[in-house]
Amino acid sequence: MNQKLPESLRSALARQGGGEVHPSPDVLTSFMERTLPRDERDFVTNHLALCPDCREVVFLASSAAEGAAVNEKGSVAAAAGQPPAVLAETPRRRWTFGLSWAVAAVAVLLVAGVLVRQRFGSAELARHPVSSVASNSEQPSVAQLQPAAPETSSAPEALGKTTRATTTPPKTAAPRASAVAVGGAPARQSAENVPSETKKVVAAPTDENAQRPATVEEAAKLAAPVPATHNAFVENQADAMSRLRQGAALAKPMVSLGAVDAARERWRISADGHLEHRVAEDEWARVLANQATTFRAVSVVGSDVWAGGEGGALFRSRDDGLHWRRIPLVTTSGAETGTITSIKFETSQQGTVLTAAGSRWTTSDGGLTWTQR
Amino acid sequence: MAFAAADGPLDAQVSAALREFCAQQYEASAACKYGIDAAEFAAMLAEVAGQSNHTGAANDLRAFLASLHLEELVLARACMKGSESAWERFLLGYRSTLYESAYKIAGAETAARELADSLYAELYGVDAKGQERPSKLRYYQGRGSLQGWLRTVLAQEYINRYRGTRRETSLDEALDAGRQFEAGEAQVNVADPRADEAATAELAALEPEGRFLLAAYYLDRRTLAEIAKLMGVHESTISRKLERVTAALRKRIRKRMMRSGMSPRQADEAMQDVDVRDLRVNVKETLRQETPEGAFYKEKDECG
Repeated sequence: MNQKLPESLRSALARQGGGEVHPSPDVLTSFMERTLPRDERDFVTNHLALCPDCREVVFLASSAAEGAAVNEKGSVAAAAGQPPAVLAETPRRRWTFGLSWAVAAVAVLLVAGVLVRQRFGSAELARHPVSSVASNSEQPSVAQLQPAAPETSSAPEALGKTTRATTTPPKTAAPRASAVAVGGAPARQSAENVPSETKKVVAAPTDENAQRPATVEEAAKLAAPVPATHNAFVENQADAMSRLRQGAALAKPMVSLGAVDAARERWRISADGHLEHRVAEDEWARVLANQATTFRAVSVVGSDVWAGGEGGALFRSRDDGLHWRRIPLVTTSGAETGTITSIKFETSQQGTVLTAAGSRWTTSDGGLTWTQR
Repeated sequence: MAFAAADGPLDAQVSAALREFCAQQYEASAACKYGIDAAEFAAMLAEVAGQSNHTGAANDLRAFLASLHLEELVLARACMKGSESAWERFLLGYRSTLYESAYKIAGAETAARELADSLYAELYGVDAKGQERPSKLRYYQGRGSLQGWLRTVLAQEYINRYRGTRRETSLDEALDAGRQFEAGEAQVNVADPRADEAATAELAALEPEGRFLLAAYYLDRRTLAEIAKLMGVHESTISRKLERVTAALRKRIRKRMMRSGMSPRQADEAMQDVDVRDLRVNVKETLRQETPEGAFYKEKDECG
């Protein structure tokens, strides 16, 4: 900012009148948290332009909030494509932002590698169909490397301290898991909650022979509907790669990315539809346990956590899960009753909710108002 | 459901919307945990909606109620009522925030503790002399988070205290301490009143955000980073906006000055910085920099 302000303008600025009625601390707080409706926000902005006292208050309170808003979700939000504006405040944010781009770059490279391999493989198949089949029989395909659900006959006993063991047969559980993790997240596993053998498979899926489950129990653990953690980071990855996804081939890079990102995971939907929050390394606490809702999707942007499920139930927490509020999806024609299958927030303000019935709800003001399409 | 606390009778549709919202959210708000029954809950929401002037249309009311930090509002009201479990929850979740924020605002530990203790007593409903008085939590309406509200109230209290202390500082002490008084912004009387009129008119026509940015940056001398943090954008965005607003404003003021009869050269000269020798400083006005006392207390009365 090199421009100087002409004195006539500066004096006019200082002379501005009005602003006698101060907004309450409550409204100023809401202004700082950017949750005010547009008209009220304009009113407060106008008042702040006129009132040096209130400007001083908001700047002081804003500086006191420094650090409080920074949390580990920042990296998730950064990867979700939020404007760097809200993320470039601290070195930690910059660091996580860089890391997320590195992860994205690795994902692109992996996808490119798979595509090249497929292209090369299909060309080889056209030229030498017999030898290609023989080669495939010697070397397991990527799909074979994955812990495929149909091979299993039982469910895991315990995925975490608070995670219920499920008795759902894998064949029915597998589609459920993919439905929970809209956007291709079924391969995204929480590495903290799977057995160590599984971690190896997740981390190095190419080392297939060494990592193949040796027993039926191991296979069952691997194939179980491990709750897929679902957030904006995953969704963005999934969106970017959905065009390229072919069968199980792309599950391989997704698993790798899931393992890389698993260290940051703190929210998930359990196999039996409960929302869970990681409170310790291997300990998950159930959140909103008093709700009868079966949850299907969770999305995290900064300290905002959104969770939705059956019956059109949509919940939001603005403080990283400390407090929750149910957000009604209502139009003049009635309330949403379909199962929410996807929640995607590109920023803290702009988000989309999809239901199993095909409804699409969008908000551009952080969930205050919703539009159905 | 009772709506007695509302400022006036509510429209039937609005009442129905409020009733529906209360029925949906009463359980989730944990009001029953703190001994707030459904009628009190509804009255509380009606009061909040009434004070915020959101009782005009049912849809407006629904959106407003959905935006409230309901659980924190209930917690605050339960604390006001003296619920022990609510205070336990408050102590667990907000006391540390209160003291941390006070430290960040005041900078010094002693001042921070004094500031936080004072506010804590006011929240509890006790004044400086230990006598009971209505809890300050009654001003919390759930529009923003409770933590954010505590920070804002602390900031207000700190500014009020700072002003009070500054007024009490004697001139001799300040001089002994070697402190020099900063010169205020000179009251500039621009030579050509048409320039002044043009600047005032164009500034008034500017959008609120532009005026806020100009005031924060040029008058308060806030940094781009501070403004960016408040506005939730990157500082380069603020920088670009300021450049754009300033450049556009200069152009419009120049045009207006020319429309009012000034020649291009006169307009350009008027847009330049004024030579210090041309300033006519009103000493009395320059020294009068204190904000009127009780600026915020007035606002509290309006809230209450």
